[in-house]
Amino acid sequence: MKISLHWKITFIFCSIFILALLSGYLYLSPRLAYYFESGLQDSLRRELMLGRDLLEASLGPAGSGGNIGDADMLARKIGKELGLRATIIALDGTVIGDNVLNKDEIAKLENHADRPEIQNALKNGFGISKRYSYTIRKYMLYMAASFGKARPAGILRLSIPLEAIASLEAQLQKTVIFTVFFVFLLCLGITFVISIFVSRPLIEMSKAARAVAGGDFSKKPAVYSNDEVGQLARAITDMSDEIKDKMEKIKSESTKLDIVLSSMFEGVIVTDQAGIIILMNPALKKLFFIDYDPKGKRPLEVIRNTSVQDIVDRILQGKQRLATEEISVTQPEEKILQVNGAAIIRNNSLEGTVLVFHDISELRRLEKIRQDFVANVSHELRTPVSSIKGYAETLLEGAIEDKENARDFVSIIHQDSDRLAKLIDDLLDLSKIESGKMKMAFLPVDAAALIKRSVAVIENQAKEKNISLKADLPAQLPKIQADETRFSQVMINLLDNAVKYTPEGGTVTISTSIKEKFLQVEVSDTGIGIPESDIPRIFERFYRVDKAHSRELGGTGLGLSIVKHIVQSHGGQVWLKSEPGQGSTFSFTIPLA
Amino acid sequence: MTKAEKKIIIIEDDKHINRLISYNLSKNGFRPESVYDGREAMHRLSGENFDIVILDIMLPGIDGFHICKSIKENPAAFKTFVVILTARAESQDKIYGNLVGADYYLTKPFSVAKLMEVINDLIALREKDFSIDTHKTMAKPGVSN
Repeated sequence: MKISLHWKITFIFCSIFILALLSGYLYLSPRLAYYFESGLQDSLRRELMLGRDLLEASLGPAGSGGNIGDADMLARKIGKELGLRATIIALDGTVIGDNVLNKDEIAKLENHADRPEIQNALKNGFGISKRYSYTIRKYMLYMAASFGKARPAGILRLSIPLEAIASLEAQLQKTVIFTVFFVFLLCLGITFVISIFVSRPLIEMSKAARAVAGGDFSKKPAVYSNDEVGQLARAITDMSDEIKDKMEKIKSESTKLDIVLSSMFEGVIVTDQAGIIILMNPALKKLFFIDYDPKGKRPLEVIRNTSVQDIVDRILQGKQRLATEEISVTQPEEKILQVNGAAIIRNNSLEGTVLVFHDISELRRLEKIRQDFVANVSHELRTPVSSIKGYAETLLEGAIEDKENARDFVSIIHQDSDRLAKLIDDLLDLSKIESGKMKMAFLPVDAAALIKRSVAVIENQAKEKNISLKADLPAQLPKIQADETRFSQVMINLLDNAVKYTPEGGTVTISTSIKEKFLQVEVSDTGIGIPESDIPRIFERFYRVDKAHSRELGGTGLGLSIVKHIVQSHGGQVWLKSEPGQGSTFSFTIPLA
Repeated sequence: MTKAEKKIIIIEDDKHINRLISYNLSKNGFRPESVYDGREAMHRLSGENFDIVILDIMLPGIDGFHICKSIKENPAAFKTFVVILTARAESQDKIYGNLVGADYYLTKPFSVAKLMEVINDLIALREKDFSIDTHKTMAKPGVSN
């Protein structure tokens, strides 16, 4: 059974009070009785002496002997005077007078000579006794004294019921019991109030502490005093605040960690020191199609790749602290993943491993593109230089005298220098666009005027091949937000391509339309067209459908790549439709001003 | 065997360079044949054994390394020397050229005189000794820039 603190305090306080009162009572009670009794004896003795004097005065002169006829009368007189029972007894023990009994009763009384007080009075002149009187059926205090002028004439005995003392004691007991009861109630009340004052802060603190344990930090014990209890309350408040702070920190840290892990693009696995998975982030689950909780399993069971398990094993065996492997995944698409494993070391002991999976497929693809580009640049530059150098060398070695070929050779040198120069221009343009160093001023410009100017540039080239160049422009064309020079470059590149790949007598048509906030320009030709398989790669640098043909026509393989970059820098798009043998249509959009 | 009887094939897609090599070889008394893409080259090589193949790497159709490898794997073409002439100047390409059995690796831009020297040397080597053993020991792949 749980007894609350304030009841305990009340109980203890009351017990102490009651114990104190009881011990006081037990100590005082016999002393008080004795004190009363001795007081009673004293007054009885004095009254006895007074009665004796009275008796002696009423007796005749010394030696007259007992006057029995008078004794009863005297006893009644004395008893009446003193308000006590007075008995006069002859020396032989015969009762000769009593103020309580009548004459017949006195006559019936037995001889009193054996009574202790009488015996003592006879012997010493004074006797005292306390006993039960069968005559009047009460506890009595008896006191006897002999009287007589020269020698004892008889004995006067006074008696008083001891009831007075008993009732006094009973009264005392009653008072004490009443007091005890009253004090108990009072004490109960007082200690109850006191205990409330003592226990209330403690109860509050206990509630606050329990609330903290339950995660509720809003309850704080009120501080009532500056004593130890107050200090404890303050300490609990401080502790609660501290715990709250720490908890919040831990919570926010773990939330942060959760956010980081779940928003990470890389896959993460954490294992314990036994190599059992304890954490796997959503990115990795998605990567390997894991739709269950992989906790408690080994990486090999979940990922089915021995290299991954091998990293974990090597680290856990202490062979390596860091390990890297590249693994390839074929489902759902071919991917190259770089797996970096690291040991988790805390307090100098290996606690597990953490593996991070990077998808490096794109990186590898870009690396390949870059390598291919470097190889292509090298090839594209070296080829015309070889040609120029070779022909110059050949001419110098005597071919200059070879009238038949010398002119051709010089012309080839001229062509290849042009090709080289154009290639350098295109490469520089491309690198400037790609590195964002090309300065473009996007201003509202007249698209119609720019298109017409571009057509004029290509016109002669078209005429040479008997190609009709049609610009199908509406009368009123809204201005576009573009860089004049670069827009013209796009138009010229597309028109140049169209003319190059269109056989003699063909047609190249330019048309425009408004598509929402963009101007869409289309350049259609009736040329050789582009095979469907080449369409996705046509805008790649150095990608040519027919390499030899392109080079023959003076193409660098960069024209469409430049077009794409410029259009994209303007915020537009470029695409094409083509039908081999029928012709191609290149379309692009440029934002309206 | 005169120079005119030596069979030389130029496998080079760039028409200017093909013509350049062809012109200079003719000046030196050879009668070279010109081919402009990989597939055509494979076709020609399967039908005939050449003394010298001047081979570009970046060819349309089939690339030069592949062609070189197929020549070197063909027992009937044991007498054929392959001179790779390419813009691929990276050392890993040269190593790869060596691996596929090229007899000489020249990078573009090249010296016409050097190319002629290499070809004349290889022809002389063939003239001097016809034994397979000698061919094997002498025909170490050379590399020149």
